Amino acid sequence: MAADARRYFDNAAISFPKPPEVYDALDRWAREWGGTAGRAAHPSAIAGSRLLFDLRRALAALLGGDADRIALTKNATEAINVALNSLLPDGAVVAHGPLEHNAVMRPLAHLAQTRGLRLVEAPGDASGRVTPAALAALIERERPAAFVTLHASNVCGVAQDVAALGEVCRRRGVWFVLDAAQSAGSLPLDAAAMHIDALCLAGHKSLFGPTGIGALALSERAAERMQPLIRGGTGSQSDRETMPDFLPDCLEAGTPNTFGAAGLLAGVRWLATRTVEAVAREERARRDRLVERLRGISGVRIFGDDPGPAAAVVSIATPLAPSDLAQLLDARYGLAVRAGLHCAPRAHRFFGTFPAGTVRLAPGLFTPPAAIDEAADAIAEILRSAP
Amino acid sequence: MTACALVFRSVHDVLKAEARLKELGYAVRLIPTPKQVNPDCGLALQIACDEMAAVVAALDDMRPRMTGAYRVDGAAFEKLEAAG
Repeated sequence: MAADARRYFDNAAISFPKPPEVYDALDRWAREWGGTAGRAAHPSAIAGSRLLFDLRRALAALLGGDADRIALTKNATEAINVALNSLLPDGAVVAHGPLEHNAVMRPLAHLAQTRGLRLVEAPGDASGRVTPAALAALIERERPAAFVTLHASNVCGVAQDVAALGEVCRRRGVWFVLDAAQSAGSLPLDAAAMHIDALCLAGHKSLFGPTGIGALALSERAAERMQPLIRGGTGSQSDRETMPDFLPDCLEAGTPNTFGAAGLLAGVRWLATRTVEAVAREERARRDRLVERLRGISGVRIFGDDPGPAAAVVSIATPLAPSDLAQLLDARYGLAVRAGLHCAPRAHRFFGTFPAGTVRLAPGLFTPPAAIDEAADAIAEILRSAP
Repeated sequence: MTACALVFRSVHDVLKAEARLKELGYAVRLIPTPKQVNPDCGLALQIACDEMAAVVAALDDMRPRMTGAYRVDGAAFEKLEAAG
């Protein structure tokens, strides 16, 4: 049985459904081309090379980067790992936000163990936002080499003021690494204007691509520091047994994911025709509707009930265990939500919901407003009948 | 028209040069790079030899990425020392 798009509230994990153009592009690529990229001069291979080239340009146009400095990765996690491994010198101090996903915290913890990094957490306000003043004070006190933060929380949707934080980092010469897995495509981003040194992207969420493809968009100064995580064939400098030292090849060893690129390019082009600003308004309306409906339910504590910038992600805690509520929503109403820690134990510690976690509801751009009301009604019914 | 070709360090660079030159109205096309010129499985950009100077000027910021300029004679490439 296929998933019910109307009852799918797990868009924070993977957007579903995608725009029809994405499915068409995936099918067309698989059936009509299917070639590798950068490895030959026959038409299929040229089509593959053009596909990756076009994707870099489309991402750069959408997100304010430079296509020459965009490496394609398998996901945001790989992009974050590449950026942190490349930019942080041994023994460096690194500042991070209070809501970080393990995609940031696990590589940082590993680097702390293996290369002597010292990690310091920037304090968040009640919603988990880091104010520019708080970041400036932290930088003054701790002298970090880098500040790493998510843009929008995958637990509660709350978004950081990236432009202001980027300006703080730029003025103090601190690397600014942004985990935009949850925001790219659904909140406005301009890597150059926001002084983002390493913009880490997931293709399968609000950029509407398939799983297995992401990207790392780099500033000019960050690009000069990049070191590969893995090494292998690139189709360039093939007479050498060492990796090329130029982008994007130095970060793209192995056969590239042209299938994923075809879908992601279609998603990015679809977004570009609508504009991220318009998408953000639509998603905000869904988020506000969801929060409004949840506010009226007795026993529900909402995380992300906040007028500030946010992605369409909301978490709730109720008298029921999150896993029990999620199971009942699925079994009785066919609603797909996610329970637990959402790979972000730090965020749940911040909100006091560790270790049980929360139930996360993430409507998408294609979620009808009536379905949001039905989801809230379902939660209310379950809680009314709970012992 | 005598054909010449520009060879770059990566496929991304070839395609970038192609896109820019097409925007500027030059007649360019992608051709396979002979193995004796470049061991990669790559592409070169064919241009008109009499436009070489203008094309190289249009790609001035990409000079570090250009690994050579050649005169194309059938499948053979003859290196042009000065242009690249």
